[in-house]
Amino acid sequence: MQRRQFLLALASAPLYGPALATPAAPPIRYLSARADAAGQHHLTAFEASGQLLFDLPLPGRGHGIALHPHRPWAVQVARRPGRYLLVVDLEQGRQLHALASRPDRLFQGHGLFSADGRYLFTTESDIEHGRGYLGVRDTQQAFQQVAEWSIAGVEPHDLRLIEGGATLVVADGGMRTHPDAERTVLNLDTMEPALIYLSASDGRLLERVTLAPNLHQNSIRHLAVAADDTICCVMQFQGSKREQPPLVALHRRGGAIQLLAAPAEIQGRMRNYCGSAATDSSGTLFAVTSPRGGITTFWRAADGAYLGHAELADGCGAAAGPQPGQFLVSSGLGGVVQVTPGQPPERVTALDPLAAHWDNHMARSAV
Amino acid sequence: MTPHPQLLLGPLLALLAIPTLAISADRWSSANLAIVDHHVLPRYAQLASTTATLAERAQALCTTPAAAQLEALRSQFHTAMDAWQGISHLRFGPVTLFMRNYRFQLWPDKRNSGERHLNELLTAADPQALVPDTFHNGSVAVQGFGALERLLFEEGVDAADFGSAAAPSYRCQVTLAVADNLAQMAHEVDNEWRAGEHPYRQVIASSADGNDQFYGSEEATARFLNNLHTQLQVIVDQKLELPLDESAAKARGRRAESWRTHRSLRNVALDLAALEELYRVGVVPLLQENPAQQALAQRINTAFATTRASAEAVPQPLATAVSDPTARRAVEQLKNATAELKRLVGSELPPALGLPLGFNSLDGD
Repeated sequence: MQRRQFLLALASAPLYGPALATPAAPPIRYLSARADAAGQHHLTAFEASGQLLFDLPLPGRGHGIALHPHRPWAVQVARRPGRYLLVVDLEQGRQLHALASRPDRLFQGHGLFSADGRYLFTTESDIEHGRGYLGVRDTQQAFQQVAEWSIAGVEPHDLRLIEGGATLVVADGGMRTHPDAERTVLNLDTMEPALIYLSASDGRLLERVTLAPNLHQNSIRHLAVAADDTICCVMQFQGSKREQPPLVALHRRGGAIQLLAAPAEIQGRMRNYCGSAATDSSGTLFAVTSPRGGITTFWRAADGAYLGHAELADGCGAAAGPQPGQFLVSSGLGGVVQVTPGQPPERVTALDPLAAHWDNHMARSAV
Repeated sequence: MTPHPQLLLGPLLALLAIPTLAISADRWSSANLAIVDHHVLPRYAQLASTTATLAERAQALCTTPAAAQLEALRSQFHTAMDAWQGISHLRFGPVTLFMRNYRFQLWPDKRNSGERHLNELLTAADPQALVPDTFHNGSVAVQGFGALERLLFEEGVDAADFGSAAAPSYRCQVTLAVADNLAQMAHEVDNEWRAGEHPYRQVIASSADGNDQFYGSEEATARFLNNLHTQLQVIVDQKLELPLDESAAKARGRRAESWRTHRSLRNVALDLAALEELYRVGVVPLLQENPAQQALAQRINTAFATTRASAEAVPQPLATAVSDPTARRAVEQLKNATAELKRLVGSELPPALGLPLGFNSLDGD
């Protein structure tokens, strides 16, 4: 081929086929479990505009959603104590695998893929003996379980990766429940929630961080990670409603926990309960939802500064919005809003006809 | 089932413009106290008195094991179970302390703990296991109505199984331990609502400005409403759906609550009557404040009536009805009617009252 012809061919290539085309930016998909008006549960995917992408029935109430780092796959995890995992293809909007927990284990609500995408980690518990584990399943063996790592705790819940995927951080809520009475807490007097760091390659315990003894009833349940690996952990206080303990904290590997507090009036409105946390797409801001108080608070990752709040009754699910500095927040009473700290929330009205009771967590996929 | 357009319309209207009542803290407080005084307290008093009689009759059986005493105890089992079914929907306050709610009745029993633990207890035949302190701290699954039902109504059981006048059997001693335990728990719950240093009635009455348990009186109202909704869900998902399964061929009658005593439907009817009382005593007065809510109040009234009638139309007992193609349709009708009532209470009532009853805020994780 002549050089001139080659240049022409190159210039015109996009017209003839995708082989040489610059790949389009992958679509941003939002995912959340929801109940419909009749109480049936679904996994629903939509765009930030509110355009519905797909809606799959679930065998029961869902909770966390794990996203594959480079394939269009998501895993819906059952609400705790749960028995199912559903692996879903996001492009085709269909189920790829339906998986069950080991008979002697129960899923605790959250899952996460390894950085290379090969393994799926799920927080699990052995309810009979009150021990916490991470289940490890291999995507190359149809998600068969290939390992189980014990964690130094009783109730692993949410989990994240840091340090380029080398390290896992697990929120141990610390609450031991009764084997026959699934949500009855047995150890309110002695519970010790923790942040637990494990090697993502072999599950080795690297670090275990706890709160001060006077905050031992402050269950650490959900996590978000900033671009610089600052971890935001958000809590649910199990003690008296007259107390107003900090509910948000930052932590960096090897450092001390930095407890954050909002101005007193806002702190009071958080009602000792945070439902979820998210980072924005720049990885510098955190949004923390408090569904009982109907508010979402915003925090700066770099120094923990409080940046304000937004109102949304029963708002719990949160994810990064399409642009840096934005978040999407969903409500169990129906409705999704797009919110930027300091500005009034904008309702994504295209989703209203679903009349969805959005469940606790929202995930954002850009694969 | 409700036609599709209505499914969308209700919540949509609620989103567009919520005709919220401006209900002051006083109104929440008086709704709460009406529920406590005219629903909760009388029902716990009833539970306490019927279980006290239950314990007396268990004592009489073990003193003189004979057919008449066994029949008297069996009959009182039903009376006490009626009382429990009439207040088992309440899931906060003293009944949740020390896991009493599970000790009254562990159902559904997913791990079959009731059968396993009761067999272990009967096989070991250790009198020490029945000493109250030991018994109360032992397995939850052998302490309540489920264990008592097995002990009294298992196939083939008769008065001879409970021993003779001079020597009551170990089975009789276990029966007495369970009946005593039920009576004691019921007495404690009844007492803790009304008396002592911190009567729970007072905790609710003083919730307007916030206290250890509630941020405000509307939170207590929301808890009552949430309990009402949860129990409707229990009827649909557990009391009906579990035995129904997918088809008459797959149906499993022994998954029905109280199948041994053929009272599964009686339990559902008692549940519905209790929930309707809670609704009438606590919620109706709030809805009556606003003429715009009369249509909703009327729809909920009708839904209760439809559900009640559907329950009456199911041929007894539930455990066999689910396997019969014709009778099964009546069970499905009851399930659908209850589900529609649940939808009204869960999706339409909270915005009408201005109460956030989202499942993230009251049932979080």
